[in-house]
Amino acid sequence: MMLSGLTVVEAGEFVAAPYCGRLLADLGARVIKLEPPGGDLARRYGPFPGGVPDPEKSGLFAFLNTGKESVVADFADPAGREQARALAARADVWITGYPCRQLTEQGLDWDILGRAHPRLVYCALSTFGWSGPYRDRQGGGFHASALAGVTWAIGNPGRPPLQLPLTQADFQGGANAACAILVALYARRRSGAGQFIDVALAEVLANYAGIGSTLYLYYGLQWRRDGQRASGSMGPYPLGIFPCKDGLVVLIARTLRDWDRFLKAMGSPPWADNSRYRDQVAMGRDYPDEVDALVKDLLKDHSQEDLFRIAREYGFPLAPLRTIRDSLEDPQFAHRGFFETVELPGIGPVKLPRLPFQFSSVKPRPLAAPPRLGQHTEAALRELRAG
Amino acid sequence: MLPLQGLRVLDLGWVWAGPMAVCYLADLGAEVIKLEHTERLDNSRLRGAPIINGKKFSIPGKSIELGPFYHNSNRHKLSARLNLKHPKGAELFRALTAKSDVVLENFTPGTMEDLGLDYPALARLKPDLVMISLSTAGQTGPIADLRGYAPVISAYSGMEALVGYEGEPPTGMLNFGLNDSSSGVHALFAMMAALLYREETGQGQYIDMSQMEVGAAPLAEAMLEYQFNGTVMQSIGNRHRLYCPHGAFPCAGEDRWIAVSVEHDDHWQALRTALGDPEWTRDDSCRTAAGRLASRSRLETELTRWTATQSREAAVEQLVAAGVPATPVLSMEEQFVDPHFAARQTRQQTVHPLLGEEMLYRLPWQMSATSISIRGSAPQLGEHDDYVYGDILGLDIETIRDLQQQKIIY
Repeated sequence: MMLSGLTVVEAGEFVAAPYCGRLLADLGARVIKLEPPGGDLARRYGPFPGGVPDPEKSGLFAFLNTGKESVVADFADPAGREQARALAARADVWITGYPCRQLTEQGLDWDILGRAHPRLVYCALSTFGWSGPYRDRQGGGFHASALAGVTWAIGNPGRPPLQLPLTQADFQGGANAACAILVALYARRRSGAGQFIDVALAEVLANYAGIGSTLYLYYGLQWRRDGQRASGSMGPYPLGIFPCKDGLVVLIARTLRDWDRFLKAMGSPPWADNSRYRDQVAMGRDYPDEVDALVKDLLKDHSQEDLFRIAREYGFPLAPLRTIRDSLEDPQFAHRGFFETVELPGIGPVKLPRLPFQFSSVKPRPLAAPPRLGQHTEAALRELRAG
Repeated sequence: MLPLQGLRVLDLGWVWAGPMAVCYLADLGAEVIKLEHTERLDNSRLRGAPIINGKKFSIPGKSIELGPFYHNSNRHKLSARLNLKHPKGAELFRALTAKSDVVLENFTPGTMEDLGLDYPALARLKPDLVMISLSTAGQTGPIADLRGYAPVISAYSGMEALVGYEGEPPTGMLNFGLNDSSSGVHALFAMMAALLYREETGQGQYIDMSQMEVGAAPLAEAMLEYQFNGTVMQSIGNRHRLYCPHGAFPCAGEDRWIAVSVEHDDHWQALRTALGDPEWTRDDSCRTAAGRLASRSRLETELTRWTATQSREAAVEQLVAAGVPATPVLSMEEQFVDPHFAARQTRQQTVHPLLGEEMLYRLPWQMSATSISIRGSAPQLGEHDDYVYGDILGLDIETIRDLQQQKIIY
């Protein structure tokens, strides 16, 4: 496998650090997950079969921790910290999601581990980062998104701004950390030295939204919540979510070419040639509600699946807003083997998503049930004793 | 020395995810050559003249060079023109590939093959080539031909349906092209893995990435809820299924909000302290998460009653001081000047030869031994034609001018 031979110690809970670890594990790295005696927070987070909490039956934990080893190390206990340091000594990469201040107190920060092990790549994941005025604040992905200017632009005008769904900020933090780690490993091949990486969820989202916002703020459009539209339609209209016969669809027809394809596919309504509906900038800026009413009228008798088929036939961007159930049963995902079936002990077979890409000559690690809490503690201690 | 110095990358990326992914390679020192055809430019250039300090910044004939979005996703690259559809253009591309390490493309699947430039063809010229295709749905499958931008992709993957107010139809998050940024970053991860593996083994690699899969994987929580319990998760606004209170609460003034969450019992005690232990927080049942969730509406109403009387800054300060997770909900203009992002240099200043000073977002990490600072802006169309075809391919200047005349280098 691609990262065979790489040893990673993951000292972080919930989503961000574990997603980073999972990306590396899937490519063959040995990921030793250090868990507190009560287990990773994701073990308590669920979802659980029947809604009954059980640290060995958390769905989120299973997805994030397949392919890893679980070693219990209590950082509140000097022996646990010593064990963590001993494992770091043999590792290439240390990933952590714990607060800087805590790790400093515990003698597990970069200053200590990096000085002792110059080849170590030390990656800290946190909400606000290990520098800057907010470094010691509490908060998670929800707060990262608020600070980054993302939340501000989601939802309806005059109503509360909305969060991103299902810990997306944490996933993005984890993915960025995984990239930075590979860059540091690449650099280490030449320099022989590891380094410290500081990934802040808030900064990741600030980058994403900030770059996206340039498409608005420099063109007389506000970056603000505008309901089911991109604000001001991001210039030319339409870019929005529209109801159809049995659900909602996203339609993007911001060029005359796509708009004409859409209108033709919908049977060329009598108003199609009216100059009022040819100026797409004015449509978005001055009378989007009027255009919405016309578009809705065209869509109302079509099902999502019909529209999706028509859009592909005529070549304009449209897709149904699908549910998770649709995704799990989706023929495209099935064709590509995107879901792997994994037998979870005491639960049965479930489908878990693999990595979103495939390599031509290297297979990723097959997905398997996640480790039980502390399943590998004994083996890890034996290994350390053996020297 | 930057870590990727010595690597050469050919960028056929379009719009956002593709160009961004290799832009990061350029940040890290790779020589990235953005190849465009004058009659089919990267559409991130086609936004017209930007408005800077309230004025349209217009230079006749140069509008394609001026977009801040184009600069953010193409900085540190070189630009050369090339008409791939001309047989001689494709030949030039093959010659460049033989002298490059990485090729990125995000055309509709099949396009590269039609041009005779698919991975098997290119790998014959450069056996250790790393090539990545990042299309909407992947190179194979019943909807591999799907055209789409980020919102179309994340609608299909199930993400958009999870954004909205509780009990109402989804609003989606159409402003925010999460799937583009996320695809760029996942593509970077895949490319870096392939490059490391190449260093170890000498082997090249073809990477077939699906932007739709990028969007779907982080929805695993909902996928497992459905498989375990048959429940299709719906958006619950700013609420949280385990934590309470959890939401965006209005402050004094217009459209001022703070994001507050109580994620464990200590946070609840901290909240009580911050607010001076008011009557409504003294209910013993609220000491546990289950109790707080049972009183959710009441707690939200009471907390709102308090936040609505506070300035946003005062509310944040008071809550943070007590140890409650709380942040202002910033607008983008506020993000630009926020002291935390400023201290971390989330954006850095550079100079564009036509636009002047501008701020670009650097890679969103900090590294102690690798510089990832912004060193300049994006190239102008064809700025490096002579370098790419002269210095790299060894064509003489007459030949290059001739190919430009024939609209092949064009």
